Amino acid sequence: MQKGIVLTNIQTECTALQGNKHEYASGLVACIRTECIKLRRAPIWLAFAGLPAAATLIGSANYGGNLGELTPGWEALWSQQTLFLCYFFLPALIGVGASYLWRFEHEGTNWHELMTQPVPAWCIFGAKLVVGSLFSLVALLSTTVLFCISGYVLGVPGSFPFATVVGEVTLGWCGSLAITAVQLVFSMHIRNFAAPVGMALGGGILGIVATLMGVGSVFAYSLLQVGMNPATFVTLGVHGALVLIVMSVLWVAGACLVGVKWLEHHDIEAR
Amino acid sequence: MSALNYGYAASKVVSSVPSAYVMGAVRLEFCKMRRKHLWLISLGLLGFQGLWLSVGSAKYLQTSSSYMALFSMMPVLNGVVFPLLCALIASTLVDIEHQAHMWKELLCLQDLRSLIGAKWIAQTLIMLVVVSVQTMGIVVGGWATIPGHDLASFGLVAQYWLSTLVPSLMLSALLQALCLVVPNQFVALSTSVSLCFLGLFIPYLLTGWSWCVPSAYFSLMSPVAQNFDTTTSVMHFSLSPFPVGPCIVAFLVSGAVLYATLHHLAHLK
Repeated sequence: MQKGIVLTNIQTECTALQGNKHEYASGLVACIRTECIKLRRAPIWLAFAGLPAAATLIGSANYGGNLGELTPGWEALWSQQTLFLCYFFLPALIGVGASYLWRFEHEGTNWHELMTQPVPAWCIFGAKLVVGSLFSLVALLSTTVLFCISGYVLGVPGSFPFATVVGEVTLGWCGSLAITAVQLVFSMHIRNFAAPVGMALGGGILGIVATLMGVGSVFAYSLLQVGMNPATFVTLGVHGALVLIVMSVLWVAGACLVGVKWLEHHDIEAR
Repeated sequence: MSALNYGYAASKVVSSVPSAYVMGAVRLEFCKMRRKHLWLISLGLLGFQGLWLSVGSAKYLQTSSSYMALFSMMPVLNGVVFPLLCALIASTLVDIEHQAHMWKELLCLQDLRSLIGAKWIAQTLIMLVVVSVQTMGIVVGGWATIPGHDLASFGLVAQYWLSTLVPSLMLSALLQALCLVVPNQFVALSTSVSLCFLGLFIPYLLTGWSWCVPSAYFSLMSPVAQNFDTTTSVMHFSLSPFPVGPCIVAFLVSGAVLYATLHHLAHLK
């Protein structure tokens, strides 16, 4: 779709919202819809579904090849399939997704046009956050579905730990929201597509260090790792889960605040 | 640098003699890279590698206090980090033209081969510096960490340097080609993330497939061979013979990719 058409869409939708008592909520919905229009025919979903598929294949092969050394079970399979995905590759992929969401705005004079849209800055940032969170949701759902299928194909002993997997994936998604929000701030500020991706990979590595140092529940890039718990597959417990959720909310809120304030105060800069 | 200066540098490129022509084009690429913080990103990722190495090598250095142990860990780390680093550099070098829609204007001033060649040479020079800094870092770090303060043998260091540089250049050629051909940089970056992933696992799980995965060449060309003694539970390290086969394949692939990219872009032009 041409950029002119996209911008006309957001203008039409947002102009129609003026005067509505639910203007702000509807503004966010309009922005989310516009983000979805921008992503139409983009191959981005494929990458978020495909990388976990590669991780599943490799993890399954590793599990099958090391049954003598591993304790056979769903825990070992989960660990093999998600360990490196959560530590390095999913943060980097989230970084790529965040850069992609802002790329369109950084092109040509789109930034000026974005700033003149009749919607609050938080709606623009919030819409990108919602769409970015959908990317990680696709990746995590793909991981979960493929984990189930591969487990049954490999004949993993024991009953499927449904509640644990749902809990881990939900907490992992909460953790991924923090990474998405922080990466959106970086990608909004840095016009270079690639640089924020390097920062995401670096963040993932720092996240491991933070987890090893016992401060994994505090650092944004560790929250996904702590939530998914790929190394130990031990339930965090109610207290640990609450801490993770609270920290995720704090990181997301902090990143949104920084992002929105930056959008509000830097819109007049010549870019 | 102002637009006027860019224009002046570009006009120098056109008017110069062939040998200086390419050098001028490369210099122009480095001018464009000013304030892109590529050196900072590269050093940052090397720093993360150093951090990982310092944590991971502690176990190895307890049993085998030698440079072999340090150098044996590096191919895996390079397989994880270098595909993304190559993509970051390639994307930054190429995307600047995509974003500003500069191709038509540039091709009025420069020959296509010199333009693409200059971008490839610029990336090669950056990778050359990155690999050299990394190798020196390992030597200096090992000198400070390994008891006895022995320096690594020249043969080991030279082989490591070459066996890291050659796959890096192949990855650079591949990813830069992708960045050039597909304006959407998401494709190149997500491919590099996949290559990072494959570079980590393929050498261990599907050794035979290592020849088909560019990021697995770091492990394929590793200068250190490992042999785990099950009776004593000790890992033994030895210097591998130089991997001539993978080196030739890497050069051939790089050349073929460069040729195919030029051919494709010339056709589009």
